[in-house]
Amino acid sequence: MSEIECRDLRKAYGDVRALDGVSFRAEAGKVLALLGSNGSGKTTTVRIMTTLTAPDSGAAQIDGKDVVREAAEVREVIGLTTQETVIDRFLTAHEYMNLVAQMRHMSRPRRTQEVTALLAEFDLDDVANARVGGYSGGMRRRLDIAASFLGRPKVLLLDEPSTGLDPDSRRRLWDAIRHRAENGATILLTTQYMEEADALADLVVVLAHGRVIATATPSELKDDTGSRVVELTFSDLDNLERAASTLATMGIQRSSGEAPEALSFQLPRSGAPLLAILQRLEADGATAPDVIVRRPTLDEAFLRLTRTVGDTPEGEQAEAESEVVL
Amino acid sequence: MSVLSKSRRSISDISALVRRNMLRYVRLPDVFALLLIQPLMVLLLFRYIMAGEARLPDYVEYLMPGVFAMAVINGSATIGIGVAEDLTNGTIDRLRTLPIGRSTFLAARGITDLAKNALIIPLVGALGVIVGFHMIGPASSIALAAMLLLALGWMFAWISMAIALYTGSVEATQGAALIIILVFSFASSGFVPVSTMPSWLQHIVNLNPVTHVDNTVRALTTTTQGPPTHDVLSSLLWIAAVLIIMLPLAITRYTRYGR
Repeated sequence: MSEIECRDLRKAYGDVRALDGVSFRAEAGKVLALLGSNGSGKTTTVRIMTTLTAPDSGAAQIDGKDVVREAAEVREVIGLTTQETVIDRFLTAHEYMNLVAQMRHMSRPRRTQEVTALLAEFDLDDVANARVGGYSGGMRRRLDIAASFLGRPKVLLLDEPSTGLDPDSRRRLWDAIRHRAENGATILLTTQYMEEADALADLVVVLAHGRVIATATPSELKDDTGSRVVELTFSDLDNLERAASTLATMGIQRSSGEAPEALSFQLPRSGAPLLAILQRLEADGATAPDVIVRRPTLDEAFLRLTRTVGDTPEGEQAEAESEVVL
Repeated sequence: MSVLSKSRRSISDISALVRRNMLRYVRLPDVFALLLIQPLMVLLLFRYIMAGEARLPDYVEYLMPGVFAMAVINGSATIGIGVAEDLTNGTIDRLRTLPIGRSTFLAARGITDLAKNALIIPLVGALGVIVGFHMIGPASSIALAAMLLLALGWMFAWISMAIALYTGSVEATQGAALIIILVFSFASSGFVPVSTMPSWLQHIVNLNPVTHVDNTVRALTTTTQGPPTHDVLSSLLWIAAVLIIMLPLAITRYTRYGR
């Protein structure tokens, strides 16, 4: 049985269709990443799955319970981190965690044990008795996430949880998420960081304009989206300009986000093979000393997918993953 | 789950949230102090500046029930501001995804309001005593007066929470609170006798539930004769009627908010 499942979810706010037939499912112990540009429908989906918003049509289930008809049962098994950090600044971390734990109806010994463990896991034990108002944004975010893990929910819904975290905290959060998944929790993650989805997700669902435009593993998504990416590095800018001009005449479009002395492009599936392209560049006097051929990153795969449907992504660039070096 | 277990859970949830709400006043004492400053200013202004205009021999005795009522209205009509803040900053969304009852949040806010006013009433009374107020009613009458004031505050708390939930805006709730405080406190018998007002205004003022609460509290605290039955009944009927309308309105809106 799927822990998270939605079928043909539709939701409109006035004339705006936030969701237009969204369907996906995630099995127990899996991490499902919901990706999409701003306004693509990720948060509306999370709001429906957490019983905060009712769909206009379609159905969604968490742990086999319908999120509309059995909302109270669904709330027993979910933990939520919202996009905005929600913590009373006048409380201490310890008080806030205990407040959430009490409302999760945890016994006092279990509450004490879990609160202590989570504060330590998120590196907040030293400041547990200080008021949250004095915390940095990253500390508040960590506390917010820690609170959503209280009671060991069967299903975690994390809406852009790593926003505002430094790289070290982000890596620790990833470990925490992996640990929960290994222990059987099912996780629905939305993120603007493709690197995060690549590192954590078993399955990626890409949304655009409220519709699912791709459902695949990160690896499949990278393989399916296009062919290899070629990166050429030049010793001088004249060569680079010549190469760019030659590629343009061959109908090959440069990729964005490249280094100043580099030029990269997606190797066309049909058309001139790499060797022919390199020979043409050499003939035009634009020899590149370094040529790297690699798989597209998830970021590139995402950009290509969303551009296909006319969406404008605002996600951050993920680091390139080198695979083949010639 | 049995009804008893559900009730225990609800009580535990509400008490946790009441504690959270009360901690806000403890940790941010200026918030609580501000609730006292307005009635204090009105008390001093009317006691020493407007007393001559009122042409009453024991004006402070007349004035204090009005100040008591204004203090609880001030405390309660602003409770919606906290609700609107919780709505806009996502606190309510977070609470609504926890396995707690749908009316837990509002019940906790309402109880917090009672607790807050239970602190405000004696503090305002103490300020009154400092400026010459004498309570001559028996202790039981004074306790009844305090309970009536708490009920009046509760009525305004639910009005304020309903406004917050329907507008979803801190600014709108703040504006509504100011109007409520000014209109209901001053268009009443709290500060000058109704008989001194123009006749058209007397009709309006006599419809104001605060007038009946003022009259009842005045009779309970400054006489030994007991309050007029008409004012007691009118006060209770007004409060009950408003609560019967506002409670379900607020709870329904809270349950459906954002859906």
